Amino acid sequence: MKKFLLHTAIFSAPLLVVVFTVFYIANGKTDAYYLRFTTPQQQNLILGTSGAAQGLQPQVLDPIVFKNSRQHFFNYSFSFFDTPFGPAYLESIKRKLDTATKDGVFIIAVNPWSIAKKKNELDDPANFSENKRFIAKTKLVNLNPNIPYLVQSYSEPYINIIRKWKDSSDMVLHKDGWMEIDVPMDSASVTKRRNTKQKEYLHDYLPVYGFSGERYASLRELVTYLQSFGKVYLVRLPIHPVMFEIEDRMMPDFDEKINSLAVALKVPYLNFKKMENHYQYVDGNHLYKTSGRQVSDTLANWIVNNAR
Amino acid sequence: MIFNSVAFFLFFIAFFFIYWLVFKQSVKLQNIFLLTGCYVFYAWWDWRFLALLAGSSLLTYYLGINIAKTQNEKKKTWLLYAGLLQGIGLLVFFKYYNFFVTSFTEAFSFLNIKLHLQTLQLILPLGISFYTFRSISYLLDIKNEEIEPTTNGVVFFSYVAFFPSLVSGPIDRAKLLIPQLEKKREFNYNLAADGMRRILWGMFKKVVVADNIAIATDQIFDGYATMPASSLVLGAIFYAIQLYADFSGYSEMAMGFANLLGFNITKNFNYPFFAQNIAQFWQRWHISLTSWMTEYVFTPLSFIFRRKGKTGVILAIMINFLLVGLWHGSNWTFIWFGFMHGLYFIPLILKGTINKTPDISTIKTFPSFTEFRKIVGTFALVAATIIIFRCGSVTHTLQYYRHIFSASIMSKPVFTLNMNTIAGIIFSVVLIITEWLGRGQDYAIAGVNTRFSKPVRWTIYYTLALIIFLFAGKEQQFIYLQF
Repeated sequence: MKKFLLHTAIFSAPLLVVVFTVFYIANGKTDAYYLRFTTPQQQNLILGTSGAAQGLQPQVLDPIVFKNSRQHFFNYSFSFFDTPFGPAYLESIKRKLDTATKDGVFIIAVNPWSIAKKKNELDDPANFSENKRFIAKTKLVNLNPNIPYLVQSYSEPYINIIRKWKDSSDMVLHKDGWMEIDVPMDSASVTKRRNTKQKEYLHDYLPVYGFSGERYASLRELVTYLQSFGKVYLVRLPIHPVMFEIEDRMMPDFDEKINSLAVALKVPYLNFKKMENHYQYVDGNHLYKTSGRQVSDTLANWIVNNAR
Repeated sequence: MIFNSVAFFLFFIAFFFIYWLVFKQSVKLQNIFLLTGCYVFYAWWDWRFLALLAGSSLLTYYLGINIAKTQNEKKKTWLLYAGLLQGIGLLVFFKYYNFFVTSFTEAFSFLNIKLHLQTLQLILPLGISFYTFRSISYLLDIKNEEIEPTTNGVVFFSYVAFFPSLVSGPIDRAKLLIPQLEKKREFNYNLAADGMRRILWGMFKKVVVADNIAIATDQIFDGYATMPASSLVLGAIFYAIQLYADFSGYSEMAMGFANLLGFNITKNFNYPFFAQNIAQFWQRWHISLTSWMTEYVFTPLSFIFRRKGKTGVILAIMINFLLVGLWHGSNWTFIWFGFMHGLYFIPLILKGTINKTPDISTIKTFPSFTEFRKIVGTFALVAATIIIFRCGSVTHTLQYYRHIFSASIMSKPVFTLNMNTIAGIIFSVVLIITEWLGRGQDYAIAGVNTRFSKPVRWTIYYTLALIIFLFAGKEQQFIYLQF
């Protein structure tokens, strides 16, 4: 028995070194989410789906909103599959939020998909699809390296952590949570990507998704929760007109719903609809980084004006 | 708690240390702790069915003792029937009830008769097909006076619920496992080291080959309607490899964990892809099920049909394989799968060559052309029916076949190549080559221990372990867990 244990220990030790080294070098290129679970608890959050993850840039917002103070935003937005409003996302936000915060600023990006569910599924939080995804499974969201996340939720072979470590990548997640996408922006590439996205949303999502009362209620709960730690701002980010059209078909009264919630909870709401033609989009749904900078700048100034 | 999960890893480490360090003094303590571990393992999946497992074991235990005790042959038979009714009844209720109800309703509606039979919302208890078959064989072996019943309840309950093979087999027979449970286990370095090697190899098969190739398989089977026929053929080949790597990987790990606890359990695979005909294939694939069915279904049926000559053998084979198909699940696709494999046997029965093809010599590096042709032919037959196994419905299967028989068979296969699929394909080739070279051994890398010097050996183990860590695909359930 002793010999067996000794041999096993000798065999395992170098392997454990390799395992921890690989986990240690995981960074913003590892995947689209990992780095957000490796930072400490935060006081000012940007919340929402992938539009906010790629579109809202803390480095642009910070100097305008927080001026010379040492405060900063952290982008804790993910994707419409993973973080539509619901108990799983709310619980994750609670874990990420520094509860000592008194005068925090919280930007919640809303869109119809974030308060939608599949029509053939029960509108029951216990059955929401994200309950089985990383947002619900990752209980430790402030751990570096975040081994539980890498073990439970990282979906690629670990060799990719090494491969992407020093590689130039078209996707980089920054330490402030902003996801930078760098893809060719010539009109042919953009049109191709937009057409694919449009087709996907028209055929795969529009027919099957509809309003969810429970998700809407969860958004209300989130706003109320965050109000006890600071000021909350709602924003509907710009998307390409063809994508707005699909959103309008899916949930025609979306703006009314958000407006009524904003009025009821006394939360400012900035709607970028009707301004969508001023910006460039990676694929119709996500702002290109230069436009993201413009939108972040507009949003920051609007927050400052509202705070006065 | 699947074998390749962190939860199982932690569970097993804790179990291993307590089992060998705390309870090594007596067989009684070892068995009580083993049974506790088995029930914790099972309850981890779904504690609601633990009572079913325990209840079924209790009934079988008492029936076994009473079958052996009674001198009255009629009473013996009735006790056996009670056991069979309990075992098969549970299977029929949980696994086949809805299938039969739906099939009957559809069949009668075809004749314009409307039946109003209710289906039930049932969850299939995990491992029921495996532990029920263990219990049934136990009673049949007692009735046939092949074994004596055990009078030690803990031993029997541990036999039925033995956790390394509880949820996906192998279907261990009582005559193999119970004597080992009745003896005190002493730690054996060679057996434990062998177990570690098996786990390493099983893990490679499951997480590197099966889980990665599964990405390509899913892609092809889900999007078959828009893919060229050549891709669909590849899909069938990939799924055959995936199913083998997944199930044999699980079985290898099960044997490894059993070895670490001081047990030897049934070998479930013997290089089936190197079989030269379908009979050889079934002698090498899911061996514990095949031998169970041969002993308790095929042999009695052959005896019943003995006067019909080859027709009788064909009848017995067809019934046997229809049941093999049905064992896998309550779906017409599985019955069809079984039926096709039964049909494959007919030429062998008619020619009288079922057991007449010799195995390929393990000394040869390459097979002869005839052997190679037979191996490829047998694999093609298996891969053709694996489509039925993979598709969820008869309609899906028929459409898949229809798409295969189209002009696009000559076009270049199309599917997304990413890190997972590339790794899956490369390591499938590594798997097949390693298994070919190691086919004379109990498992493919068993020879590493005797053939190579220590530095080479350890280099091989490290390489394997690193490949497992770096190339593991997305964690997927074992395919045979659903059965």
